[in-house]
Amino acid sequence: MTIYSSESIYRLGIKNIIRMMFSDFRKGKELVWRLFLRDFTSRHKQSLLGWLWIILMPLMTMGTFLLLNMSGIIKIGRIDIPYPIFGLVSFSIWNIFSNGLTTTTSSVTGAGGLVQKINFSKDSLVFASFGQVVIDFLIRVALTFGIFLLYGRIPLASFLLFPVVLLPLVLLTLGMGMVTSLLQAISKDVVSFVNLGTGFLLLLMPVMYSAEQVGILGKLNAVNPLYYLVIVPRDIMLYGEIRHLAGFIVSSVFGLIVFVFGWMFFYLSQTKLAERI
Amino acid sequence: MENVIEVKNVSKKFCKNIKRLMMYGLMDVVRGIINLPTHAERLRRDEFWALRNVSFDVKKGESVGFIGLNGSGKSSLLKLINGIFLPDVGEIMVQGKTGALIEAGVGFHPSLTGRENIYLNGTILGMKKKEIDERFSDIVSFAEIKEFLDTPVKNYSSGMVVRLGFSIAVHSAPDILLIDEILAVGDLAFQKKCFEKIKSLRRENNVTIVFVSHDMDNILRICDRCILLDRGKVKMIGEADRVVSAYLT
Repeated sequence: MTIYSSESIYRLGIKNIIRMMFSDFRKGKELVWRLFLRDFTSRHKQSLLGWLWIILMPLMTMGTFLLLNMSGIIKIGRIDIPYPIFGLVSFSIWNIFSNGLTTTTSSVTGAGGLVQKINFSKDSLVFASFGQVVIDFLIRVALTFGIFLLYGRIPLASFLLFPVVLLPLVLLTLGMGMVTSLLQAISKDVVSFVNLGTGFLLLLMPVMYSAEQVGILGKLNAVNPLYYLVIVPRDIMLYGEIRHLAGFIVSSVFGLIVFVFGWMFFYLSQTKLAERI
Repeated sequence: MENVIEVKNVSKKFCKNIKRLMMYGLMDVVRGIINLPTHAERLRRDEFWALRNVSFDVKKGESVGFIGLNGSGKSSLLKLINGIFLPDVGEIMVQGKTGALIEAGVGFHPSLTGRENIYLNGTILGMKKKEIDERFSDIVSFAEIKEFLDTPVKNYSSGMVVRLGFSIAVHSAPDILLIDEILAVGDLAFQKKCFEKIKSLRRENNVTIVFVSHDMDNILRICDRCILLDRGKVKMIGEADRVVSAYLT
């Protein structure tokens, strides 16, 4: 028997609500997979360059940074490995956050009538949309391996740690995406703010460059969890070393909290979404 | 006979201002989480009651029609029973798996083929892949789209889209089937086929039907009982022919 009432779910308490979220996710795995396949199959159907975009985007970003470096506007700093390898790995990690946040933000409003006319777990839309970000990432990792070989280098064994060290970044992105996808239903400006914000952060954080930061920017990055969740995995992949371990652990816990509470907020608000979209 | 739907003193309010609607929604969620009263009985600025103090039961295997003028709350009530909206006041209890046909083609992706959309829509309606595999040929044959199975749905006629949507929904083996006016899109032959299917679902599987329509002939064709709604309130409940005549006069 299913009971629908405005307050029945809150009476369960936070612990039981979280348990229900995970249980519903397990039950809805097939739906997440099917929605992922839908997005995957239809994604490049009417695009001229199609899958090439996945490779073109990091190449264009790296080109921009190299140009800014040559013009003296930005200092890329001292990098001990060829810039194409550094740039591609950095961009791929960064894109999990930036593209992940943009994609998840639009995932619910993009589903339109589906949300309004069918009763299903709307969080499936957010999880499924993130699947495209994972595919992009895997393609770029394969490309990175190719570039390594082109330079006559072999990737470090620490590359195998990718799934583990990137998990906190994935959780942070998904948690934020759950909240921004709700906000996007209130105002269509949210996705533009997300695009603007991530573009701005890419310049402020030493993602595509390695120059040491001093002054206010250095202080800001020192308390920015995103900084540790991007930089630490990159250093592990490229140099096999961990700097800022404490910062990474604290930021990972932060990412986990944002994920659980972002998801819970979405889970409790999803019926309101149907009224709004 | 046991009740499969129990609607108890249900009220639902909506907001005319779209920005305020979601803000109120978020405020209610936050208040709910921190255990503060949501004052659901009170109307805030720009809110109005779409449904007010609605109560009724539906028994297993029954076919019930919702009738009333546009804006009387029929579709909102159907969405509340389906769990798409939650009531602001009162409770709805639903026993069994619910299948809904609220709009033709909703859930279909236009760029995907009929075949791909059967799997997508079937999963959205709660079917497992194995179940879809088993019922695939029945779905295709009922929808009469065999030749167009690998054609993108965007190239289907509106009738084909309704046929496919209806076929997937009835083959998802619901205990309760909610239908909102969508059959009007199909041609007469297909409408007849759909009504036959609805009758066979009731006869063979004891499926409960909740049907919303402005077409009183169709209402009388399949409904045992009707609920007449007027500006969000129940005006009359009773035998289908009695309620329909009251509505028409």
